[in-house]
Amino acid sequence: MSGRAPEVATPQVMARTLALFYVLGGVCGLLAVLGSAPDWPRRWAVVGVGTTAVVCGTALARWGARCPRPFFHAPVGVATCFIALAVLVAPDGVTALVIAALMSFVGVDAFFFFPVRWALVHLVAAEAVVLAALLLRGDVEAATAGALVTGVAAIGATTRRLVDEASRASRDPLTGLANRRGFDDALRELVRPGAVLSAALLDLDHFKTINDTGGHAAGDEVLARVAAHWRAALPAGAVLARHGGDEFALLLPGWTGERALALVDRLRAGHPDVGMSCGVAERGARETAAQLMRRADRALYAAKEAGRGRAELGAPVQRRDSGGARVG
Amino acid sequence: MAETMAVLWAAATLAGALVASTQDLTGLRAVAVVVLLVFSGSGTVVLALRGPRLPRRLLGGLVHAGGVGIGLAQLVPQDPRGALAAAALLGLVVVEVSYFFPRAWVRRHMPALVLLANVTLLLRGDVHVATVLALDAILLALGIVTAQLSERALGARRDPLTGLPNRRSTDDRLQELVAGGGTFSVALLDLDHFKEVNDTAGHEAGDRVLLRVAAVPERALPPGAVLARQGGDEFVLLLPGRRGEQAVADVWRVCDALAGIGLSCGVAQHEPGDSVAQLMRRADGALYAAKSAGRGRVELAATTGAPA
Repeated sequence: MSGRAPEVATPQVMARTLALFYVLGGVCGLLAVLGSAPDWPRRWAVVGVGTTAVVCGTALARWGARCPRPFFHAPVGVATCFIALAVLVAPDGVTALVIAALMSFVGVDAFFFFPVRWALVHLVAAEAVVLAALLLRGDVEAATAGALVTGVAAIGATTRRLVDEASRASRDPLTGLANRRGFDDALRELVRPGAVLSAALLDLDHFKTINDTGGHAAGDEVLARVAAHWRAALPAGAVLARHGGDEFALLLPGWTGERALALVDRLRAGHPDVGMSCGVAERGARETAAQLMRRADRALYAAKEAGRGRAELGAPVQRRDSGGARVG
Repeated sequence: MAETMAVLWAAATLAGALVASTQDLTGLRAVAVVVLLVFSGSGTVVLALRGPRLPRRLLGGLVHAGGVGIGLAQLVPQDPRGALAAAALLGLVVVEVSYFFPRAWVRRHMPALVLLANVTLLLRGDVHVATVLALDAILLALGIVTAQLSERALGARRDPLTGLPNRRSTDDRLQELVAGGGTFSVALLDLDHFKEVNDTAGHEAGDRVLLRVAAVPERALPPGAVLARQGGDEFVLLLPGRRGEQAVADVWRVCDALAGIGLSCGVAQHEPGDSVAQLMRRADGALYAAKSAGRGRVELAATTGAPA
């Protein structure tokens, strides 16, 4: 668990959180300047850092959601540098301390976004750099700075607990896959103009019979086994979710319908003993998430009608105003 | 919850001691420091040792006390830097409150706590208003992000369709009730012929029935009662402080409030020494009895001492 990034931290969520922190952090710096000693060169320097932070926050709100995961280490690291710089140039000790308290944002970001190992790297770096900046000033007592650092560490630890709990909310406890809620979140993020995306619905055939004859434990065992195998066999970036009961859903960003169909057929072949019907659909230009899933559902229905134990590909969308295409 | 609160309180105590070490403590200041540190230190110990058994009300009271304590601590240091380091500890309170308390509670209590602390800080006379507002900007951002995360975490404990607490949440609450050792009863409520509604009128009609049960008016339930969905067409009603016969009357009242919806119910009163599983098994037995006696009725499980 500690080796993986929290599920709740999708690029959209990270961008939104960072934008809020950058903007309010900048505002905090600008307000602090108003209350600081009238040492104008230093005041202007803090104003410069604060304004830059607000601009960065706006940019993150606008474009951040499109960035890949590893990118988000950058704004968190840059935030540490901004805070340390502003602490160093702040006109007086009180102002420096207020700005140093912004470290708590880095503490929250680190444990919210990254695996524990990376979170600790960010936290320790932020605390060390800001502590050094405070001590270099010479007008803040070491123990006072230490008090601030202690509070930030506690906020980071609390954030981690909360993030773990929140991540559990989008996970199916039996299989460890995403649940419907996690799936919907992922789908919303992946439906973007110009992006290729295929979706598949996978349904175990006659699952009710397994449950009725072998008991619920037997049914659960089949679900967990299938889920574990699929998860191992899926390409990076794919999102597999359990929609409840014997229904699974799969998102394949960057995969065309034909390739997705071939992949689903391979997944089915991995479990010859478990019958499975699948419906695949590739997102048409301008199609909404709901329309895409409806076409996948119709393809699944077609597969069931055709005698189960097969995968069907939904016909591509012909025209965007035709209200969805028929299943071929 | 109490465990996390203990961590935050420990951090606040340590930070407070660090700030105190920079001060020249004599007379009243020394007394204030000792009182505050003993208070937050003992709060930490109580939370760490007895936390899970403390009632929610008391935990809420502790949060208030912590906020007020930090507010007062701002007055102690001679220099504004010490005061500011104390004020920054409000971030811990904001995170704690936004994590554990419902949004309505946060909206009602948090602004007052922060305002009180702000006014106290300004009373010193050596901290500028803009500096205080700068600190508030930090608290605001911490509160927003923590509340959003907390809302998502809460989703893990709710049934998405009805918004009622789900099985995971009920299990935790039951464990708490058993550990608390007080009198309480549980009722299992099962919709009669729900499968037929689903099969003939469709899933949406079935969902509508479930939503009607979930919307049972509060006044039909005794105070402190919790209605939760166990999954499928099964609901559970937790009745703290209610004995078996009282609980049966309560459940009949719920059935009356849901006129038109057939319900079979099994009630069991917790007996000393009962585990959660034993209690639920007895409630389930009573439910089975209600079903076999023709549905649409409430049955009380026999006590363990006198098996039926």
